[in-house]
Amino acid sequence: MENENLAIATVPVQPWGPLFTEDEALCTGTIFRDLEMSFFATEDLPSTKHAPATPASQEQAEREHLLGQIFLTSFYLDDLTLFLDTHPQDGDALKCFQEKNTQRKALKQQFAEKFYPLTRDCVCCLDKDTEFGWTKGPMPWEGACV
Amino acid sequence: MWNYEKRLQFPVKITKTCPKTAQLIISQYGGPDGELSASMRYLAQRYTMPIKEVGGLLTDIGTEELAHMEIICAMVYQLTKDLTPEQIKESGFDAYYIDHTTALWPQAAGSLPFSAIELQSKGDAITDLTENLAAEQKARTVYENLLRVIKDPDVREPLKFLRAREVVHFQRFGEALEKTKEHLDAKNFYYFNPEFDKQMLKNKPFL
Repeated sequence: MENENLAIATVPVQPWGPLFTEDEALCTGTIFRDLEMSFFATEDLPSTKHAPATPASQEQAEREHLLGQIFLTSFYLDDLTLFLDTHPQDGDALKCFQEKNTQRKALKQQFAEKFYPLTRDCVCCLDKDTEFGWTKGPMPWEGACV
Repeated sequence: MWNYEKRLQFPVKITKTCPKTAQLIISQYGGPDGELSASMRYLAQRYTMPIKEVGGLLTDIGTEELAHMEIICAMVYQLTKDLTPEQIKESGFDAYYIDHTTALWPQAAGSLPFSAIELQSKGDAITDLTENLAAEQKARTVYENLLRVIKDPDVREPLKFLRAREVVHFQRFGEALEKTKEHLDAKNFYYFNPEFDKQMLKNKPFL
């Protein structure tokens, strides 16, 4: 049996299993409940999120909410992609990937139309655009927006 | 080819500057087990990987490591924003400041500059995947060392996330190793180098 080989590392292949919700997954760092392996020194942490600062405007609140959705859905896809890389024929994973991928595309499009483009393929997607949209929005490292 | 997405993989919003913490965290940018070394390691190894799916996994994990590098850099940047010369001197950030002001530069916590010596691309699938398993463990240990000494929740949340990713990547590299083994002689995995002696591989997965 494969598992009985000497002198080589063996890691069991992960079967598909129960998933975290989008919210839980980003906080935990994985979508898979079976891969949640916490560290004792983080267990005293308040349940996850820092209290959000009050947004300066209604527009900012809306923008942060939508961007938050994009963070959650995108991370789900990040983790699913790695699972599918080693389980390319897993039906459950494929179904979940298709669903989240459609969701992410719509969210990204919505964000570009309302606020600014997150990727180059969302730039100048509107007739009303008169300037190069790629320069719009805060830089991600500024921490200004979610 | 890569496409940029104008957001971090995990939000970083640090309200309190702390150059001391920045100096510790910077190790995960340019240190021996940092994200720069991780991304370069995986992205370098993939070209000669004999099993196509493993090359794909290295591309995807290597890409995610680039996003992790950006998270670490954002943290260092926010922790050292708008510092006064006094704060810099008191915190011990002064040596770094003399050479780089408050710009980002890849170095270890102990100030050693980033070096490709910290990673390996060996040209043997078993060797490289075993290196990657170890690399994920080493990075996990660094995140745990950071989490023991850093108390600010704004800093701990992204670190906790990054630590969890090391565990997931370990699992995936383990699966990639199992996949590679399927194409080798189960009685002796070391009979030939699957990356160099390709003609001896079972099922010729690279064709």
